[in-house]
Amino acid sequence: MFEALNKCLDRLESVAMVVFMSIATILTTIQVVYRYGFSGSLFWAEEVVIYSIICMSFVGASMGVRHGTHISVDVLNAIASPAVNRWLHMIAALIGIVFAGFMTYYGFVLYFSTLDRGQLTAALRLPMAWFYLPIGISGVLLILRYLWVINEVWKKPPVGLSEELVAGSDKLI
Amino acid sequence: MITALLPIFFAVLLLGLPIFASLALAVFLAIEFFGATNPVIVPMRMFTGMNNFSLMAIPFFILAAELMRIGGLSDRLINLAKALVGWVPGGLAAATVLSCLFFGAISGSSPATVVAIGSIMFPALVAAGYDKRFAIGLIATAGTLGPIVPPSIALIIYGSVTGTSVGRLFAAGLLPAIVIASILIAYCIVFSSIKGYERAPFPSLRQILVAFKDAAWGLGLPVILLGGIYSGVFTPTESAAVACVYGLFVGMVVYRTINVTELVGTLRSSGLISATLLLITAGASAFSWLLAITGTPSQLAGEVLSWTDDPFQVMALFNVVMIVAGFFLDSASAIIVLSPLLQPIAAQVGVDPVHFGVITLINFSVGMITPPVGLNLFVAMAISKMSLQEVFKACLPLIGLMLLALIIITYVPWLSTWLPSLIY
Repeated sequence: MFEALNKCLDRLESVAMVVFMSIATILTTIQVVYRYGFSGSLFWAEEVVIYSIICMSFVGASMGVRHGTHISVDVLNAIASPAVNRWLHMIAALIGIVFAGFMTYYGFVLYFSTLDRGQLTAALRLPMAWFYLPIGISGVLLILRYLWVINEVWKKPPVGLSEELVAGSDKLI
Repeated sequence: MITALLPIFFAVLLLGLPIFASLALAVFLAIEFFGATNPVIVPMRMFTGMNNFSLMAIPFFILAAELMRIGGLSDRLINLAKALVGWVPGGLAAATVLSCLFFGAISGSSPATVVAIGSIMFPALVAAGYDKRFAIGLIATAGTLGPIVPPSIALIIYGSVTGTSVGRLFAAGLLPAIVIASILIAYCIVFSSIKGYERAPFPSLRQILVAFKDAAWGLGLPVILLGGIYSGVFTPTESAAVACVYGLFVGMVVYRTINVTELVGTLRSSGLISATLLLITAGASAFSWLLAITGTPSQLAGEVLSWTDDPFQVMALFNVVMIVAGFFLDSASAIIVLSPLLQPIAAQVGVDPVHFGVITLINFSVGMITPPVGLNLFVAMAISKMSLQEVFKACLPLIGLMLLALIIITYVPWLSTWLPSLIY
Protein backbone atom coordinates (compact mmCIF):
# COMPACT_ATOMS: atom_id res chain seq x y z
CA MET A 1 0.00 0.00 0.00
CA PHE A 2 2.86 2.31 0.90
CA GLU A 3 4.43 1.87 -2.53
CA ALA A 4 1.15 2.41 -4.36
CA LEU A 5 0.45 5.59 -2.41
CA ASN A 6 3.98 6.76 -3.08
CA LYS A 7 3.65 6.19 -6.84
CA CYS A 8 0.32 7.96 -6.87
CA LEU A 9 1.79 10.97 -5.06
CA ASP A 10 4.77 11.03 -7.46
CA ARG A 11 2.40 11.28 -10.38
CA LEU A 12 0.19 13.90 -8.78
CA GLU A 13 3.07 16.12 -7.73
CA SER A 14 4.78 15.93 -11.13
CA VAL A 15 1.61 16.90 -12.95
CA ALA A 16 0.94 19.78 -10.54
CA MET A 17 4.50 21.01 -10.95
CA VAL A 18 4.38 21.03 -14.77
CA VAL A 19 0.92 22.61 -14.88
CA PHE A 20 1.69 25.45 -12.45
CA MET A 21 5.05 26.19 -14.06
CA SER A 22 3.49 26.29 -17.55
CA ILE A 23 0.60 28.51 -16.49
CA ALA A 24 2.96 31.02 -14.91
CA THR A 25 5.37 31.18 -17.86
CA ILE A 26 2.70 31.37 -20.55
CA LEU A 27 0.60 33.94 -18.70
CA THR A 28 3.53 36.27 -18.04
CA THR A 29 4.49 36.14 -21.71
CA ILE A 30 0.91 36.73 -22.84
CA GLN A 31 0.81 39.74 -20.56
CA VAL A 32 3.81 41.28 -22.33
CA VAL A 33 2.38 40.49 -25.77
CA TYR A 34 -0.98 41.92 -24.73
CA ARG A 35 0.56 45.15 -23.50
CA TYR A 36 2.50 45.85 -26.70
CA GLY A 37 0.37 44.00 -29.25
CA PHE A 38 -3.05 45.11 -28.09
CA SER A 39 -2.08 47.92 -25.69
CA GLY A 40 -4.37 46.37 -23.10
CA SER A 41 -3.52 44.93 -19.73
CA LEU A 42 -4.54 41.72 -18.06
CA PHE A 43 -5.05 43.10 -14.56
CA TRP A 44 -5.48 39.64 -13.05
CA ALA A 45 -2.48 37.98 -14.69
CA GLU A 46 0.11 38.96 -12.08
CA GLU A 47 -1.99 37.53 -9.26
CA VAL A 48 -2.56 34.23 -11.07
CA VAL A 49 1.17 33.95 -11.80
CA ILE A 50 2.13 34.58 -8.18
CA TYR A 51 -0.42 32.13 -6.82
CA SER A 52 0.53 29.42 -9.32
CA ILE A 53 4.17 29.69 -8.33
CA ILE A 54 3.33 29.71 -4.61
CA CYS A 55 1.15 26.60 -5.02
CA MET A 56 3.97 25.02 -7.00
CA SER A 57 6.43 25.78 -4.21
CA PHE A 58 4.28 24.15 -1.56
CA VAL A 59 3.88 21.08 -3.78
CA GLY A 60 7.67 21.13 -4.08
CA ALA A 61 8.07 20.79 -0.31
CA SER A 62 7.02 17.13 -0.22
CA MET A 63 8.41 16.39 -3.68
CA GLY A 64 11.80 17.69 -2.52
CA VAL A 65 11.74 15.30 0.45
CA ARG A 66 10.92 12.41 -1.87
CA HIS A 67 13.74 13.20 -4.30
CA GLY A 68 16.21 14.51 -1.73
CA THR A 69 16.61 17.88 -3.45
CA HIS A 70 16.21 20.10 -0.38
CA ILE A 71 19.34 21.90 0.74
CA SER A 72 20.42 20.55 4.11
CA VAL A 73 23.50 20.15 6.28
CA ASP A 74 25.07 16.69 6.39
CA VAL A 75 28.26 17.18 8.43
CA LEU A 76 27.04 14.76 11.09
CA ASN A 77 26.11 12.18 8.46
CA ALA A 78 29.54 12.56 6.89
CA ILE A 79 31.42 11.63 10.08
CA ALA A 80 28.92 9.01 11.28
CA SER A 81 29.27 5.24 10.78
CA PRO A 82 26.60 3.63 8.54
CA ALA A 83 24.60 2.45 11.58
CA VAL A 84 24.60 5.90 13.17
CA ASN A 85 23.90 7.51 9.80
CA ARG A 86 20.75 5.42 9.58
CA TRP A 87 19.56 6.68 12.94
CA LEU A 88 20.34 10.25 11.96
CA HIS A 89 18.05 9.86 8.97
CA MET A 90 15.33 8.52 11.27
CA ILE A 91 15.72 11.46 13.63
CA ALA A 92 15.71 13.96 10.77
CA ALA A 93 12.53 12.41 9.39
CA LEU A 94 10.88 12.51 12.82
CA ILE A 95 11.76 16.19 13.25
CA GLY A 96 10.44 16.65 9.72
CA ILE A 97 7.13 15.16 10.83
CA VAL A 98 7.00 17.57 13.78
CA PHE A 99 7.55 20.46 11.35
CA ALA A 100 4.94 19.06 8.95
CA GLY A 101 2.51 18.72 11.87
CA PHE A 102 2.91 22.43 12.63
CA MET A 103 2.43 23.27 8.94
CA THR A 104 -0.69 21.14 8.69
CA TYR A 105 -2.30 22.38 11.90
CA TYR A 106 -1.55 26.08 11.53
CA GLY A 107 -1.99 25.97 7.75
CA PHE A 108 -5.56 24.79 8.19
CA VAL A 109 -6.14 27.20 11.11
CA LEU A 110 -5.07 30.00 8.76
CA TYR A 111 -7.38 28.65 6.05
CA PHE A 112 -10.45 28.47 8.26
CA SER A 113 -9.90 31.79 10.03
CA THR A 114 -9.40 33.59 6.70
CA LEU A 115 -12.48 31.87 5.30
CA ASP A 116 -14.49 33.16 8.28
CA ARG A 117 -13.29 36.71 7.77
CA GLY A 118 -14.25 36.53 4.10
CA GLN A 119 -11.12 38.35 2.87
CA LEU A 120 -10.90 38.62 -0.95
CA THR A 121 -7.79 38.86 -3.14
CA ALA A 122 -6.98 42.27 -4.61
CA ALA A 123 -7.42 41.60 -8.34
CA LEU A 124 -9.40 38.41 -8.79
CA ARG A 125 -11.82 39.02 -5.89
CA LEU A 126 -11.59 35.36 -4.94
CA PRO A 127 -11.57 34.22 -1.31
CA MET A 128 -8.03 34.68 0.04
CA ALA A 129 -8.50 31.50 2.08
CA TRP A 130 -8.29 29.36 -1.07
CA PHE A 131 -4.73 30.48 -1.59
CA TYR A 132 -3.76 29.52 1.95
CA LEU A 133 -5.13 26.00 1.47
CA PRO A 134 -1.95 24.61 -0.21
CA ILE A 135 -0.02 25.26 3.03
CA GLY A 136 -2.07 22.78 5.06
CA ILE A 137 -2.20 20.30 2.20
CA SER A 138 1.57 20.44 1.75
CA GLY A 139 1.85 19.67 5.48
CA VAL A 140 -0.16 16.47 4.99
CA LEU A 141 1.91 15.48 1.94
CA LEU A 142 5.10 16.15 3.89
CA ILE A 143 3.97 13.80 6.67
CA LEU A 144 3.27 11.06 4.10
CA ARG A 145 6.66 11.56 2.45
CA TYR A 146 8.55 11.51 5.76
CA LEU A 147 6.73 8.29 6.72
CA TRP A 148 7.91 6.87 3.39
CA VAL A 149 11.48 7.99 4.17
CA ILE A 150 11.32 6.23 7.56
CA ASN A 151 9.97 3.11 5.88
CA GLU A 152 12.81 3.17 3.31
CA VAL A 153 15.51 3.68 5.92
CA TRP A 154 14.02 0.92 8.08
CA LYS A 155 13.85 -1.63 5.25
CA LYS A 156 17.25 -1.03 3.69
CA PRO A 157 20.59 -2.02 5.20
CA PRO A 158 22.49 0.91 6.76
CA VAL A 159 24.89 2.76 4.44
CA GLY A 160 27.34 5.62 4.92
CA LEU A 161 26.86 9.07 3.47
CA SER A 162 29.45 8.65 0.71
CA GLU A 163 27.62 5.62 -0.75
CA GLU A 164 24.32 7.53 -0.60
CA LEU A 165 25.89 10.40 -2.51
CA VAL A 166 27.24 8.11 -5.20
CA ALA A 167 23.84 6.42 -5.54
CA GLY A 168 22.04 9.73 -5.86
CA SER A 169 24.60 11.81 -7.70
CA ASP A 170 22.24 12.43 -10.60
CA LYS A 171 19.48 13.89 -8.50
CA LEU A 172 21.31 17.13 -7.80
CA ILE A 173 19.88 19.81 -10.10
CA MET B 1 12.66 34.45 22.42
CA ILE B 2 15.63 35.32 20.18
CA THR B 3 17.98 33.45 22.50
CA ALA B 4 15.87 30.34 21.84
CA LEU B 5 15.55 30.91 18.09
CA LEU B 6 19.18 30.47 17.05
CA PRO B 7 20.03 27.34 19.12
CA ILE B 8 16.83 25.59 17.95
CA PHE B 9 17.61 26.51 14.35
CA PHE B 10 21.18 25.21 14.46
CA ALA B 11 20.19 22.06 16.35
CA VAL B 12 17.53 20.93 13.87
CA LEU B 13 19.70 22.01 10.93
CA LEU B 14 22.60 19.87 12.15
CA LEU B 15 20.30 16.91 12.66
CA GLY B 16 19.58 17.04 8.94
CA LEU B 17 16.29 18.89 8.57
CA PRO B 18 16.22 20.87 5.27
CA ILE B 19 17.16 24.55 5.66
CA PHE B 20 13.71 25.87 4.79
CA ALA B 21 12.05 23.60 7.35
CA SER B 22 14.70 24.38 10.00
CA LEU B 23 14.09 28.12 9.62
CA ALA B 24 10.30 27.74 9.86
CA LEU B 25 10.37 25.14 12.65
CA ALA B 26 12.66 27.36 14.76
CA VAL B 27 10.15 30.21 14.41
CA PHE B 28 7.20 27.91 15.19
CA LEU B 29 8.86 26.56 18.34
CA ALA B 30 10.16 29.96 19.50
CA ILE B 31 6.66 31.44 19.26
CA GLU B 32 4.89 28.37 20.61
CA PHE B 33 6.95 28.12 23.78
CA PHE B 34 8.37 31.57 24.41
CA GLY B 35 6.28 34.08 22.51
CA ALA B 36 2.96 35.76 23.08
CA THR B 37 1.69 35.77 19.48
CA ASN B 38 -0.28 33.03 17.72
CA PRO B 39 1.95 30.70 15.64
CA VAL B 40 -0.61 30.90 12.82
CA ILE B 41 1.39 33.98 11.81
CA VAL B 42 4.21 31.66 10.63
CA PRO B 43 2.46 30.10 7.58
CA MET B 44 1.09 33.55 6.83
CA ARG B 45 4.59 35.09 6.89
CA MET B 46 5.87 32.25 4.71
CA PHE B 47 3.14 32.99 2.20
CA THR B 48 3.81 36.74 2.34
CA GLY B 49 7.52 36.09 1.87
CA MET B 50 6.82 34.56 -1.53
CA ASN B 51 3.93 36.85 -2.48
CA ASN B 52 6.06 39.24 -4.53
CA PHE B 53 6.05 39.56 -8.30
CA SER B 54 9.76 40.29 -8.56
CA LEU B 55 10.55 36.91 -6.94
CA MET B 56 8.61 35.20 -9.74
CA ALA B 57 11.61 35.90 -11.96
CA ILE B 58 13.42 33.07 -10.12
CA PRO B 59 11.51 30.11 -11.62
CA PHE B 60 11.59 31.74 -15.05
CA PHE B 61 15.34 32.35 -15.03
CA ILE B 62 15.92 28.77 -13.85
CA LEU B 63 13.68 27.41 -16.62
CA ALA B 64 15.28 29.61 -19.29
CA ALA B 65 18.79 28.47 -18.36
CA GLU B 66 17.71 24.81 -18.27
CA LEU B 67 16.13 25.12 -21.72
CA MET B 68 19.28 26.72 -23.09
CA ARG B 69 21.44 24.01 -21.52
CA ILE B 70 19.50 21.01 -22.83
CA GLY B 71 19.13 22.83 -26.14
CA GLY B 72 22.89 22.38 -26.54
CA LEU B 73 23.83 25.97 -25.97
CA SER B 74 26.59 25.31 -23.44
CA ASP B 75 28.65 23.49 -26.10
CA ARG B 76 28.39 26.41 -28.48
CA LEU B 77 29.36 28.95 -25.82
CA ILE B 78 32.31 26.75 -24.85
CA ASN B 79 33.44 26.57 -28.48
CA LEU B 80 33.33 30.34 -28.71
CA ALA B 81 35.33 30.69 -25.49
CA LYS B 82 37.90 28.17 -26.80
CA ALA B 83 38.29 30.12 -30.04
CA LEU B 84 38.78 33.36 -28.13
CA VAL B 85 41.25 32.35 -25.40
CA GLY B 86 42.30 28.79 -26.25
CA TRP B 87 45.71 29.98 -27.51
CA VAL B 88 46.99 31.36 -24.19
CA PRO B 89 48.98 29.06 -21.84
CA GLY B 90 46.36 26.96 -20.07
CA GLY B 91 43.96 27.93 -22.83
CA LEU B 92 41.38 25.25 -22.10
CA ALA B 93 41.24 26.28 -18.44
CA ALA B 94 40.92 29.95 -19.38
CA ALA B 95 38.15 28.98 -21.80
CA THR B 96 36.34 27.27 -18.91
CA VAL B 97 36.30 30.52 -16.96
CA LEU B 98 35.18 32.49 -20.01
CA SER B 99 32.39 29.95 -20.72
CA CYS B 100 31.12 30.41 -17.15
CA LEU B 101 31.14 34.17 -17.72
CA PHE B 102 29.11 33.73 -20.95
CA PHE B 103 26.74 31.20 -19.45
CA GLY B 104 26.26 33.54 -16.48
CA ALA B 105 24.58 35.97 -18.84
CA ILE B 106 21.86 33.37 -19.35
CA SER B 107 21.78 31.71 -15.95
CA GLY B 108 21.31 33.41 -12.61
CA SER B 109 22.38 30.48 -10.50
CA SER B 110 25.76 29.27 -9.36
CA PRO B 111 25.21 25.47 -9.16
CA ALA B 112 23.38 25.53 -12.51
CA THR B 113 26.43 27.13 -14.14
CA VAL B 114 28.70 24.48 -12.63
CA VAL B 115 26.44 21.78 -14.10
CA ALA B 116 26.14 23.39 -17.52
CA ILE B 117 29.82 24.15 -18.05
CA GLY B 118 31.46 21.69 -15.66
CA SER B 119 29.82 18.53 -16.95
CA ILE B 120 31.35 19.26 -20.37
CA MET B 121 34.62 20.92 -19.37
CA PHE B 122 35.72 18.63 -16.53
CA PRO B 123 36.13 15.54 -18.77
CA ALA B 124 37.65 17.75 -21.48
CA LEU B 125 40.22 19.26 -19.10
CA VAL B 126 41.16 15.88 -17.65
CA ALA B 127 41.48 14.41 -21.14
CA ALA B 128 43.77 17.28 -22.13
CA GLY B 129 46.10 16.34 -19.28
CA TYR B 130 45.13 18.94 -16.67
CA ASP B 131 45.41 18.01 -13.00
CA LYS B 132 42.03 16.70 -11.80
CA ARG B 133 42.09 18.78 -8.64
CA PHE B 134 43.03 21.96 -10.46
CA ALA B 135 40.19 21.37 -12.95
CA ILE B 136 37.42 20.73 -10.42
CA GLY B 137 38.48 23.59 -8.12
CA LEU B 138 38.47 25.96 -11.06
CA ILE B 139 35.04 24.80 -12.27
CA ALA B 140 33.40 25.02 -8.84
CA THR B 141 34.79 28.53 -8.36
CA ALA B 142 34.16 29.86 -11.86
CA GLY B 143 30.55 28.69 -11.48
CA THR B 144 30.02 31.50 -8.98
CA LEU B 145 30.25 33.88 -11.94
CA GLY B 146 26.74 32.64 -12.89
CA PRO B 147 24.87 34.86 -10.44
CA ILE B 148 27.41 37.72 -10.49
CA VAL B 149 26.95 38.31 -14.23
CA PRO B 150 23.37 39.57 -14.70
CA PRO B 151 20.75 38.05 -14.44
CA SER B 152 21.13 36.91 -10.85
CA ILE B 153 18.73 35.04 -8.58
CA ALA B 154 20.61 36.13 -5.46
CA LEU B 155 20.39 39.80 -6.46
CA ILE B 156 16.64 39.46 -7.17
CA ILE B 157 16.23 38.20 -3.60
CA TYR B 158 18.48 40.95 -2.22
CA GLY B 159 16.52 43.56 -4.17
CA SER B 160 13.16 42.32 -2.92
CA VAL B 161 14.33 42.20 0.72
CA THR B 162 16.02 45.61 0.80
CA GLY B 163 13.83 47.44 -1.70
CA THR B 164 16.70 48.07 -4.12
CA SER B 165 16.07 48.23 -7.89
CA VAL B 166 16.78 44.85 -9.48
CA GLY B 167 17.73 46.53 -12.76
CA ARG B 168 20.42 48.61 -11.02
CA LEU B 169 21.72 45.57 -9.14
CA PHE B 170 22.00 43.59 -12.37
CA ALA B 171 24.05 46.34 -13.98
CA ALA B 172 26.25 46.58 -10.88
CA GLY B 173 27.34 42.95 -11.12
CA LEU B 174 28.91 43.11 -14.57
CA LEU B 175 32.26 44.80 -13.86
CA PRO B 176 32.91 42.83 -10.64
CA ALA B 177 32.25 39.64 -12.64
CA ILE B 178 34.85 40.69 -15.19
CA VAL B 179 37.32 41.44 -12.38
CA ILE B 180 36.81 37.96 -10.89
CA ALA B 181 37.02 36.28 -14.31
CA SER B 182 40.28 38.14 -15.05
CA ILE B 183 41.80 37.04 -11.74
CA LEU B 184 40.77 33.43 -12.40
CA ILE B 185 42.12 33.49 -15.95
CA ALA B 186 45.41 34.98 -14.71
CA TYR B 187 45.59 32.10 -12.22
CA CYS B 188 45.00 29.58 -15.05
CA ILE B 189 47.78 31.13 -17.14
CA VAL B 190 50.29 31.17 -14.28
CA PHE B 191 49.45 27.65 -13.07
CA SER B 192 49.53 26.20 -16.58
CA SER B 193 52.77 27.96 -17.53
CA ILE B 194 54.46 26.42 -14.49
CA LYS B 195 53.05 22.99 -15.30
CA GLY B 196 53.78 23.44 -19.00
CA TYR B 197 50.36 22.42 -20.30
CA GLU B 198 49.76 22.43 -24.04
CA ARG B 199 48.09 25.37 -25.69
CA ALA B 200 45.97 25.58 -28.83
CA PRO B 201 47.29 27.36 -31.96
CA PHE B 202 46.27 30.97 -32.51
CA PRO B 203 42.84 30.93 -34.19
CA SER B 204 42.17 32.46 -37.58
CA LEU B 205 39.64 35.27 -37.83
CA ARG B 206 37.40 32.87 -39.75
CA GLN B 207 37.39 30.37 -36.88
CA ILE B 208 36.38 33.08 -34.43
CA LEU B 209 33.61 34.32 -36.70
CA VAL B 210 32.23 30.80 -37.18
CA ALA B 211 32.21 30.26 -33.41
CA PHE B 212 30.41 33.57 -32.94
CA LYS B 213 27.82 32.65 -35.53
CA ASP B 214 27.22 29.27 -33.89
CA ALA B 215 26.70 30.85 -30.50
CA ALA B 216 24.71 33.80 -31.84
CA TRP B 217 21.32 32.51 -30.70
CA GLY B 218 22.64 32.07 -27.20
CA LEU B 219 24.33 35.44 -27.12
CA GLY B 220 21.08 36.97 -28.35
CA LEU B 221 19.36 36.07 -25.11
CA PRO B 222 21.24 38.47 -22.80
CA VAL B 223 20.75 41.18 -25.42
CA ILE B 224 16.97 40.72 -25.27
CA LEU B 225 16.99 40.30 -21.49
CA LEU B 226 19.08 43.30 -20.55
CA GLY B 227 17.98 45.40 -23.51
CA GLY B 228 14.37 44.80 -22.53
CA ILE B 229 14.95 45.65 -18.88
CA TYR B 230 17.05 48.78 -19.44
CA SER B 231 14.89 50.24 -22.19
CA GLY B 232 11.90 49.80 -19.90
CA VAL B 233 10.09 47.47 -22.30
CA PHE B 234 9.58 44.91 -19.57
CA THR B 235 10.23 44.27 -15.89
CA PRO B 236 12.95 41.79 -14.85
CA THR B 237 10.25 39.16 -14.16
CA GLU B 238 8.67 39.61 -17.58
CA SER B 239 12.06 39.53 -19.24
CA ALA B 240 12.69 36.18 -17.55
CA ALA B 241 9.44 34.74 -18.93
CA VAL B 242 10.26 36.07 -22.40
CA ALA B 243 13.67 34.41 -22.05
CA CYS B 244 11.90 31.07 -21.45
CA VAL B 245 9.87 31.44 -24.63
CA TYR B 246 13.03 32.45 -26.51
CA GLY B 247 14.92 29.44 -25.11
CA LEU B 248 12.07 27.16 -26.10
CA PHE B 249 12.02 28.62 -29.62
CA VAL B 250 15.77 28.18 -30.03
CA GLY B 251 15.71 24.64 -28.63
CA MET B 252 12.64 23.37 -30.49
CA VAL B 253 12.67 25.33 -33.76
CA VAL B 254 16.21 26.57 -34.47
CA TYR B 255 18.45 23.82 -33.11
CA ARG B 256 15.70 21.16 -32.90
CA THR B 257 17.36 19.54 -29.91
CA ILE B 258 14.42 19.61 -27.47
CA ASN B 259 11.40 17.33 -27.88
CA VAL B 260 8.13 17.40 -25.96
CA THR B 261 9.13 14.70 -23.45
CA GLU B 262 12.28 16.60 -22.61
CA LEU B 263 10.30 19.81 -22.31
CA VAL B 264 7.93 18.27 -19.75
CA GLY B 265 10.89 16.85 -17.85
CA THR B 266 12.58 20.25 -17.84
CA LEU B 267 9.43 21.99 -16.62
CA ARG B 268 9.23 19.48 -13.79
CA SER B 269 12.87 19.67 -12.72
CA SER B 270 13.05 23.48 -13.03
CA GLY B 271 9.82 23.68 -11.06
CA LEU B 272 11.26 21.53 -8.31
CA ILE B 273 14.52 23.51 -8.12
CA SER B 274 12.57 26.79 -8.02
CA ALA B 275 10.22 25.42 -5.38
CA THR B 276 13.07 24.46 -3.05
CA LEU B 277 14.54 27.96 -3.49
CA LEU B 278 11.23 29.76 -2.95
CA LEU B 279 10.48 27.66 0.13
CA ILE B 280 13.80 28.82 1.57
CA THR B 281 12.67 32.37 0.80
CA ALA B 282 9.45 31.61 2.67
CA GLY B 283 11.13 30.08 5.73
CA ALA B 284 13.78 32.79 5.87
CA SER B 285 11.10 35.50 5.64
CA ALA B 286 9.35 34.11 8.70
CA PHE B 287 12.70 33.93 10.50
CA SER B 288 13.65 37.47 9.50
CA TRP B 289 10.20 38.73 10.53
CA LEU B 290 10.67 37.36 14.03
CA LEU B 291 14.08 39.03 14.26
CA ALA B 292 12.52 42.31 13.09
CA ILE B 293 9.57 42.38 15.54
CA THR B 294 11.87 41.70 18.46
CA GLY B 295 13.90 44.78 17.54
CA THR B 296 17.08 42.91 16.60
CA PRO B 297 18.01 45.19 13.65
CA SER B 298 18.06 48.39 15.72
CA GLN B 299 19.82 46.70 18.65
CA LEU B 300 22.48 45.40 16.31
CA ALA B 301 22.83 48.79 14.63
CA GLY B 302 23.28 50.47 18.01
CA GLU B 303 25.92 47.97 19.01
CA VAL B 304 27.93 48.14 15.78
CA LEU B 305 27.79 51.93 15.50
CA SER B 306 28.80 52.43 19.14
CA TRP B 307 31.91 50.41 18.33
CA THR B 308 32.86 52.14 15.09
CA ASP B 309 31.29 54.24 12.35
CA ASP B 310 34.24 54.07 10.00
CA PRO B 311 32.97 52.53 6.74
CA PHE B 312 36.29 50.74 6.23
CA GLN B 313 36.03 48.91 9.56
CA VAL B 314 32.27 48.31 9.35
CA MET B 315 32.63 46.68 5.94
CA ALA B 316 35.58 44.58 7.12
CA LEU B 317 33.46 43.35 10.03
CA PHE B 318 30.45 42.63 7.80
CA ASN B 319 32.56 40.73 5.29
CA VAL B 320 33.82 38.46 8.07
CA VAL B 321 30.27 37.96 9.39
CA MET B 322 28.96 37.11 5.91
CA ILE B 323 31.81 34.73 5.09
CA VAL B 324 31.16 32.84 8.34
CA ALA B 325 27.39 32.79 7.67
CA GLY B 326 28.17 31.46 4.19
CA PHE B 327 29.63 28.30 5.73
CA PHE B 328 26.30 27.29 7.23
CA LEU B 329 23.67 28.88 5.01
CA ASP B 330 22.87 28.86 1.31
CA SER B 331 22.88 32.29 -0.31
CA ALA B 332 19.08 32.73 -0.44
CA SER B 333 18.49 32.26 3.29
CA ALA B 334 21.67 34.11 4.22
CA ILE B 335 20.61 37.12 2.16
CA ILE B 336 17.07 37.17 3.54
CA VAL B 337 18.13 36.82 7.16
CA LEU B 338 21.24 39.03 7.10
CA SER B 339 20.62 41.86 4.61
CA PRO B 340 17.77 43.48 6.61
CA LEU B 341 20.15 43.48 9.60
CA LEU B 342 23.33 44.68 7.88
CA GLN B 343 22.23 46.81 4.93
CA PRO B 344 20.67 49.67 7.00
CA ILE B 345 23.87 49.92 9.06
CA ALA B 346 26.00 49.95 5.91
CA ALA B 347 23.77 52.68 4.48
CA GLN B 348 24.25 54.73 7.66
CA VAL B 349 28.02 54.70 7.23
CA GLY B 350 27.60 55.71 3.60
CA VAL B 351 27.75 52.44 1.61
CA ASP B 352 25.49 52.53 -1.44
CA PRO B 353 22.73 49.83 -1.26
CA VAL B 354 23.59 48.66 -4.79
CA HIS B 355 27.28 48.37 -3.92
CA PHE B 356 26.38 46.55 -0.70
CA GLY B 357 24.26 44.14 -2.74
CA VAL B 358 27.25 43.18 -4.88
CA ILE B 359 29.46 42.78 -1.78
CA THR B 360 26.80 40.55 -0.19
CA LEU B 361 26.57 38.46 -3.34
CA ILE B 362 30.32 37.90 -3.56
CA ASN B 363 30.52 36.95 0.11
CA PHE B 364 27.86 34.31 -0.34
CA SER B 365 29.48 33.21 -3.61
CA VAL B 366 32.47 32.25 -1.49
CA GLY B 367 29.91 30.44 0.70
CA MET B 368 29.04 28.35 -2.36
CA ILE B 369 32.50 26.76 -2.28
CA THR B 370 32.90 26.38 1.49
CA PRO B 371 31.47 23.39 3.40
CA PRO B 372 29.30 22.25 5.12
CA VAL B 373 26.73 24.02 2.93
CA GLY B 374 28.39 24.80 -0.39
CA LEU B 375 26.12 23.97 -3.27
CA ASN B 376 28.84 24.28 -5.91
CA LEU B 377 30.95 21.74 -4.02
CA PHE B 378 28.06 19.26 -4.03
CA VAL B 379 27.56 19.63 -7.76
CA ALA B 380 31.31 19.43 -8.37
CA MET B 381 31.37 16.18 -6.35
CA ALA B 382 28.66 14.74 -8.57
CA ILE B 383 30.52 15.78 -11.74
CA SER B 384 33.99 14.61 -10.72
CA LYS B 385 33.07 11.61 -8.49
CA MET B 386 35.55 13.02 -5.96
CA SER B 387 34.83 13.32 -2.21
CA LEU B 388 33.73 16.54 -0.55
CA GLN B 389 37.12 16.79 1.16
CA GLU B 390 39.04 16.47 -2.10
CA VAL B 391 36.87 19.00 -3.91
CA PHE B 392 37.12 21.46 -1.03
CA LYS B 393 40.91 21.10 -0.89
CA ALA B 394 41.01 21.72 -4.63
CA CYS B 395 39.04 24.94 -4.08
CA LEU B 396 41.25 26.31 -1.30
CA PRO B 397 43.69 28.36 -3.45
CA LEU B 398 40.73 29.69 -5.41
CA ILE B 399 38.91 30.72 -2.22
CA GLY B 400 41.99 32.85 -1.53
CA LEU B 401 41.61 34.49 -4.95
CA MET B 402 37.88 35.07 -4.38
CA LEU B 403 38.71 36.79 -1.07
CA LEU B 404 41.19 38.99 -2.92
CA ALA B 405 38.45 39.89 -5.41
CA LEU B 406 36.09 40.55 -2.50
CA ILE B 407 38.52 43.02 -0.96
CA ILE B 408 39.00 44.82 -4.28
CA ILE B 409 35.26 45.02 -4.92
CA THR B 410 34.49 46.12 -1.35
CA TYR B 411 36.99 48.97 -1.33
CA VAL B 412 36.62 50.12 -4.94
CA PRO B 413 32.91 51.09 -4.96
CA TRP B 414 33.33 52.55 -8.44
CA LEU B 415 33.39 49.02 -9.91
CA SER B 416 29.82 48.40 -8.77
CA THR B 417 28.26 51.84 -8.98
CA TRP B 418 29.62 53.26 -12.24
CA LEU B 419 27.61 51.13 -14.69
CA PRO B 420 24.24 51.56 -12.92
CA SER B 421 24.84 55.32 -12.78
CA LEU B 422 25.39 55.35 -16.56
CA ILE B 423 22.16 53.53 -17.30
CA TYR B 424 19.82 55.16 -14.81
